[in-house]
Amino acid sequence: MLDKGKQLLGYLTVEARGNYFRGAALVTDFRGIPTDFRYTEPVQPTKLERILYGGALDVYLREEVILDNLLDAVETRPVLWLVNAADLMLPVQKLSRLPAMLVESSNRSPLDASGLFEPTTEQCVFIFQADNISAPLRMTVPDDSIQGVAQFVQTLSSAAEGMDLLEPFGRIDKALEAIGDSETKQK
Amino acid sequence: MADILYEIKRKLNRIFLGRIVVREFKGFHRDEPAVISTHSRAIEIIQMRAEPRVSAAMFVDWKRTRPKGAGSLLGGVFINGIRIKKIKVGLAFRKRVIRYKFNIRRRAAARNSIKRIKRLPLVLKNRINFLKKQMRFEKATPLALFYPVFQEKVTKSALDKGSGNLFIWYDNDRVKSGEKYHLLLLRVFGGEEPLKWVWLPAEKKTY
Repeated sequence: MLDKGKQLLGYLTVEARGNYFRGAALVTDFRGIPTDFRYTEPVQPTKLERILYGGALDVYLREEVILDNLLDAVETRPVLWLVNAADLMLPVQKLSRLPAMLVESSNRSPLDASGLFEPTTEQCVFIFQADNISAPLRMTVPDDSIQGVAQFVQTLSSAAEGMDLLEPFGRIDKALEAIGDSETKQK
Repeated sequence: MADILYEIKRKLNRIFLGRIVVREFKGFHRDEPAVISTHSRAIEIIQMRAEPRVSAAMFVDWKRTRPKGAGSLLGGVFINGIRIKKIKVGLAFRKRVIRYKFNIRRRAAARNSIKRIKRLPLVLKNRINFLKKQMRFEKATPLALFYPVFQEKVTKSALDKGSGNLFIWYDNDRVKSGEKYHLLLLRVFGGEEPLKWVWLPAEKKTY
């Protein structure tokens, strides 16, 4: 299921601030060095579009517009995608045909060794130890990916030897802020 | 002279005898055309209502056409009950379809900004809390531990004292690979420098 030949991790975020929607995709190697970064302009649906799409607008923008554009544009192929919201997992997995999961920090006490994982009381949610000197991470996978959890944990633990797994999400936010600032100055 | 005498005679008759002269009206001469003068009048139209603010609607248009569905609003111009002019007024609906092009997808086109994100530093969190119990130092106390750091690739670093995070800029092109290190910040007691940075190979398990 995972392509072991390429040691790249993908990070995908879609944020909604007010009326604006914006997405970004970052692909890094297992040291956190970026190899590809794509972002979309902030998309503000018009009043007519809001009326016509109704409740489906949010899903349409996230999945069919932003995610599709980002995944089409990314030229490097990661072994898996990490997303910042659970509702992005399935569309990313469907569009990219790669595993996608939500990884978050947790305040649980560390497990005995890196590479270990255990299920939680929540369905499709696991706790895994990415490295030996950090708190375990919380991983949510789609229903049809539960059988691949062991492999996901192995890949993420391997990546965590050279990087902080969650750090690239913060870098995406800063990059988008910097891009937004420069666009504001240009206007 | 005769006229003057005639006028004197007429006035004396009028004063003393009470007589007045009765004359015959012979009418107009046929050769002279009758002059009829009339007052010249011009029609002045003063618009009492305000100017219309809506110039046109996109889907409906006022048009001089045979009233059908909408019906006639004005059947004609009447003067003294006699229709002197027939006016066809009605609402004519034009088949005007405005096509709205959804270009959201185009507006959300992905852009490449790999150069910009490469300039941003990696942010390493302080992990000392997860390792403090295993560390034993004489005359020193560990304050911060950052991992993993590729020492050979580091071109610049900065410690954010507020958050305790370490910002690291790598030279991604100069060194393709390198060994991982722990970067340890120690408070040294009795030394010349109270703070000291120590690089420890990541593979080393004992401190």
